[in-house]
Amino acid sequence: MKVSKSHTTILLVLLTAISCLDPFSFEREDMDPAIVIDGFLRNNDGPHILTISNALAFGDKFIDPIPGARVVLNSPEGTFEYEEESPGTHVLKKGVLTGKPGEQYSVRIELPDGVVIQSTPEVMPQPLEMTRARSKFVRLQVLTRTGLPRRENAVEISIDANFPDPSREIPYYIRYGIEEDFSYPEQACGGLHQPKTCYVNTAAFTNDFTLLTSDVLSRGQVDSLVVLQKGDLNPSHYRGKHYFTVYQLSITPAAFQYWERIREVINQDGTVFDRPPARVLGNLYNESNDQIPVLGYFEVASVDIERTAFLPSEFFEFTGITEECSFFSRNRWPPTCCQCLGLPNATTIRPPWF
Amino acid sequence: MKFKKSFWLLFICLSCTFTTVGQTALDEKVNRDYEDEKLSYILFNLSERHQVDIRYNETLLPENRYTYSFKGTPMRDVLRILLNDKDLHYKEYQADKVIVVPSEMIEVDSILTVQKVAIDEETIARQVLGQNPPSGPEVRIIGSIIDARNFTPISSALVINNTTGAYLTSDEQGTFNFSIDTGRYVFQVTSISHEPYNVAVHVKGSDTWELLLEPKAYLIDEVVITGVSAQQKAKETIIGVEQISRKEIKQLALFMGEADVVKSLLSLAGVTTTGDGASGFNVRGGSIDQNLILQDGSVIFNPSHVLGFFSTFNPDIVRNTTLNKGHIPANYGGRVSSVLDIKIKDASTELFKGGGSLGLISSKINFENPLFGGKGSLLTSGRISYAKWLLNTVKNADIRNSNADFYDFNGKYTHNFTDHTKASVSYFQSFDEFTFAEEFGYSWKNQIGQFDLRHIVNDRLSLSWMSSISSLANSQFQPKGTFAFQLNSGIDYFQHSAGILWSPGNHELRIGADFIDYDIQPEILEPLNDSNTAFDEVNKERGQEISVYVNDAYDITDKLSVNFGLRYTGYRQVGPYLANIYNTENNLSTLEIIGTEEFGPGTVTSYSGLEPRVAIRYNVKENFAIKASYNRLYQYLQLLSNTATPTPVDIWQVSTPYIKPLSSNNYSAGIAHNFGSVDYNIDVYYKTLENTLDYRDFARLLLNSNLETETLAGRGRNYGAEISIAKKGEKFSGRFSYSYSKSEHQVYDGQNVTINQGAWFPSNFDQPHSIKLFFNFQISRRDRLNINFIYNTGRPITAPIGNYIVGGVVVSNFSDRNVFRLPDYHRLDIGYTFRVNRRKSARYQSELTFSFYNFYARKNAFSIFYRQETGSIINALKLSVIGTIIPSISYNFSF
Repeated sequence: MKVSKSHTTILLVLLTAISCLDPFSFEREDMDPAIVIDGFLRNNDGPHILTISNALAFGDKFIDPIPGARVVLNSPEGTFEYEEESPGTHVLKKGVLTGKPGEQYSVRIELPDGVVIQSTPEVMPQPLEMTRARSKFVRLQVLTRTGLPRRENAVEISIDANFPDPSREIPYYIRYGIEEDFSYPEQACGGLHQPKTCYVNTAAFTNDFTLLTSDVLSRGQVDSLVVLQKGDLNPSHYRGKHYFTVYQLSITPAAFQYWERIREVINQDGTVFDRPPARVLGNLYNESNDQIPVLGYFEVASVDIERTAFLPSEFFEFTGITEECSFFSRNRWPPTCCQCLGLPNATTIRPPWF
Repeated sequence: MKFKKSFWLLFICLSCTFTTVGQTALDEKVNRDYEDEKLSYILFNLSERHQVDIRYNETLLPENRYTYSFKGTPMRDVLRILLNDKDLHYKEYQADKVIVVPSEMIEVDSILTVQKVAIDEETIARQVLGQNPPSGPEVRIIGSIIDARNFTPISSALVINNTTGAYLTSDEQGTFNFSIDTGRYVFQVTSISHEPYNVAVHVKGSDTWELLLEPKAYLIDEVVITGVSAQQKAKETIIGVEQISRKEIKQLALFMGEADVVKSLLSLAGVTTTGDGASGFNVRGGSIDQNLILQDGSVIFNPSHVLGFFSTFNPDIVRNTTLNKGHIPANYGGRVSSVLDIKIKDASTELFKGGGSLGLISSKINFENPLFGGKGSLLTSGRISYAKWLLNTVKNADIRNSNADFYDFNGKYTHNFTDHTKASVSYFQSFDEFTFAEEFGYSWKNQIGQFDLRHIVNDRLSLSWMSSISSLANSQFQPKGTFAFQLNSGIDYFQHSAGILWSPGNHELRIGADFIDYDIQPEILEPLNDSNTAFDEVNKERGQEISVYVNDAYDITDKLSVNFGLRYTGYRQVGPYLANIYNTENNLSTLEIIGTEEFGPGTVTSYSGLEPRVAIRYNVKENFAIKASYNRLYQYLQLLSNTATPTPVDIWQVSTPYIKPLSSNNYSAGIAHNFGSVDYNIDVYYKTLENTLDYRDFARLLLNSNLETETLAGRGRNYGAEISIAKKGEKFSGRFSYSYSKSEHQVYDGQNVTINQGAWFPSNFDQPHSIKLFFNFQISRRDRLNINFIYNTGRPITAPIGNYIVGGVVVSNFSDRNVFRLPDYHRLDIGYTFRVNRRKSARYQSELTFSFYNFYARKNAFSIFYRQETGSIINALKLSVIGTIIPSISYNFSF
């Protein structure tokens, strides 16, 4: 059962003009220290990444990495030590290890100050396959700050799958992650400029994700399960082909419960239906000092990947919006029209599947 | 006594003519034809055209129209013809005056001959009115006549000045006023249904005068209602009792034009809510399920419309509303915080009456039908919403496709078999449905069926029996999408109660027994439209409770009285039931389940307990009392609610082997003092709670067959003090209260699972400081202004102390439970009521009420929540359910 999360809307809608949402200036308190671990191991050849940082004060934007840690993966095939690629970011490079479903994995992290963090061992679940991913543009209802809903252009990604019969098979737990990749062909900017095409990879920011468990399914056949609805579309991201990559992660029951709680915390809408929020603890614990909590999760999951894409013409057809680099007046072009590598995460190396 | 020609005069007579000396007015011949005229008009016309002063209370007269032809008929015969077939009589009062009274007004003779028959000196009470010397010889007395049992106003009571022979009657609100010279007088006050009250009054100056009349024995209601003012409180043994009259409910400024019983309670000290639009109310820091809410003795489980903006009680048919927040007499049980006892009035056995209101989003109507020649009476009332038109004014299609419908219906038939035996059958239903753009919705329905029988054996002994069935069915649904579903749950509740009221000497003894069957309905999750939702059913528990009680209200001396009670409750959970067996006694989790035990239809587990209740009052002076009380209470039924305020789909839970009964020890003490028309009260209380139901973080309460793994048993302590000052008067009445109230819980079982490391923490209902002000100004006979102000400390919340990123999502790192608070809540409401009809005595009464709710448009926070927006920053947002001034208009009428 997936309960709707638009409860705010109904209250505000029915009270139409009398309710309101306002920014609230929250007085920050000095925060007790907390360590954040965000890592995963997949049933592919990697890279498998783990980051270590300090929790931030409320409202802070930038990550505060903890450098110099030693991270070791315990697996049936032995121990594997991560390399610190950048401060706080540790990697088991591509080809070092492929996770195997049914095998048990855990990590041990030794911080420079002597703190030792251990993850509860997790057995990698069996992979589950999607049939396909689908995409379409929709008019999505969003709630404005004034408390009234409005419709905006959005992308909706859904998947079809034929999972095992939930009444016969052992339970399964799924989390969906989405990445976006789009090409960005430069405009001819005159002179010696040779237009090139950039490829940009980014996580599909929605501050939400989809979870699914066999407990709520009446049959294995799932059609058009919506895994992403994303508004606030940037027209320039659709001037080339725009891919959405769906990662269907088969996760453990403990991981499912963790992500379920994360989802609940990030989807608070302030109404009577909100359960009181609380600190979400994962599968990591501080062996040396239990007074310093460890937040985050080391997720051991099998993954299946499907992609779906939009063509530039589809975006224009649906929205009628012209992206900036097509403006007649060159003065209105942003610099990236002529220099696409100025986009975050941009590269001129075309992904093999693109 | 010189009576001013004010509204009371209009109320009882339309004009006065005096007979000429030497002629008997009733001998005068009448030659008149009346065709299709109301009796009131005929009497008025006769009085105006002839030399007889006919006085009557218009509300006693039938509304039918009559045709009469009188040709030389003596006036006394005319009156006899007019009144005989209408259960009315007339009595001569002096040579040229008559008064029209109901036939059953058996003491009319004594009333009208008070000048001839000396009042027994022993029955005369003595009283002084007015302490300060008046500026002139004439002073003004503003009085109210109140039923001494249930403190409801008595209309049409006669106040006769035995010294001068003048008289008047009380109006619909039981009030009267007159001007009089200073001096000594003897008054007799009486009404149809009350014992006469004789009083010698020394009038020294202007004053207010409150008269309490004892009901006649055969009309004594089984339930003693107390409260109204500290003057009564000073005479009442039990502590912490509040009553709000229907008048007061309507005087409070209305939200969306709807007078509301439950919302009016929020103007009382010690009664709070978690925010605008929250359902229910919290008494002295207790949760809402700790309040026993009764409608005519039957439990109502979700008395909310539109999530909680309105209550299901129709104020037009409420006879009185009593809230026991301190001492709870032994005839009540099952909840540990308070008892809200709402009595629905019996319909009139004499007149067809009705009333109603038209509001912005709903309208109400009620009728009172006398039946079977006055033996029976039927009360019907209904309310229906039409919020749809409001939604249709919005352009957004989703909003136009949304709905918020509700209705409620009450039907009550009362039959008086004899003067001593009365039975009533009643039915109540309320329904709410909320849908949003066909995306999701909620609905809930309350139903109550009740049979009530009362028999007066003699003036000291009466018997009562009550059987009722109450149910709540709720549903949430999502009609579209891959996972379209409907989830149904509910509770059925059966109750049988027997009671004896015996009043030997200074004792008032109540003996009785209650049997209750709690049957929680299974939670059923059904797929809709062939969706992929898996069917699920979770069977729920059933419990039975038997209670016996004895309660004695004993006036030991004039100054000292005690209210002592003892209640014994026995509870059992009955099967069939599948109980989990855990590997541990504490820290239950699904991982610790090592097996199950199946129980048949018999007893699964049982609990019992004695509940002593003692209240004592000592009157240091007549108007100054010291009180104290102790209560022990058990509660076997609790609402599983893990949100700040209950939702429509929360489920009820009976005690099981793992979820133990909630118990409470309540201690309270206080003083009640009266200074003329000003009363003040100070109460202090301390309450301990055992087996409070707290919840683990992220507890999943729906569709969970292992609920004990989501709950944590704790303990609680609520303590505080309440000060209230009230003034009652004709022109101005008001109330001020301040309460300091703490409510804390502790969960510590010696194991790992605790809340806030086992320390005491504020409960969701901990709002330490509360100030309430209510003023009512009667500007003129037709204009009334009221002002209501509320201030509460913000309720506790759990708030983020930091944030972090995991899986690409920015997540808040939250504090310990309830260590922060919402901003303080305060609100000012102003209401203005204008009586449309000029004559207060008119049969058809109507008034327009203009309300301004949240007058200075404060955006009180219902909640603070946190949302990540583009750029990976978490912002705090404040939801104000009511964020602006709400003007409204409503039209109320009665006939």
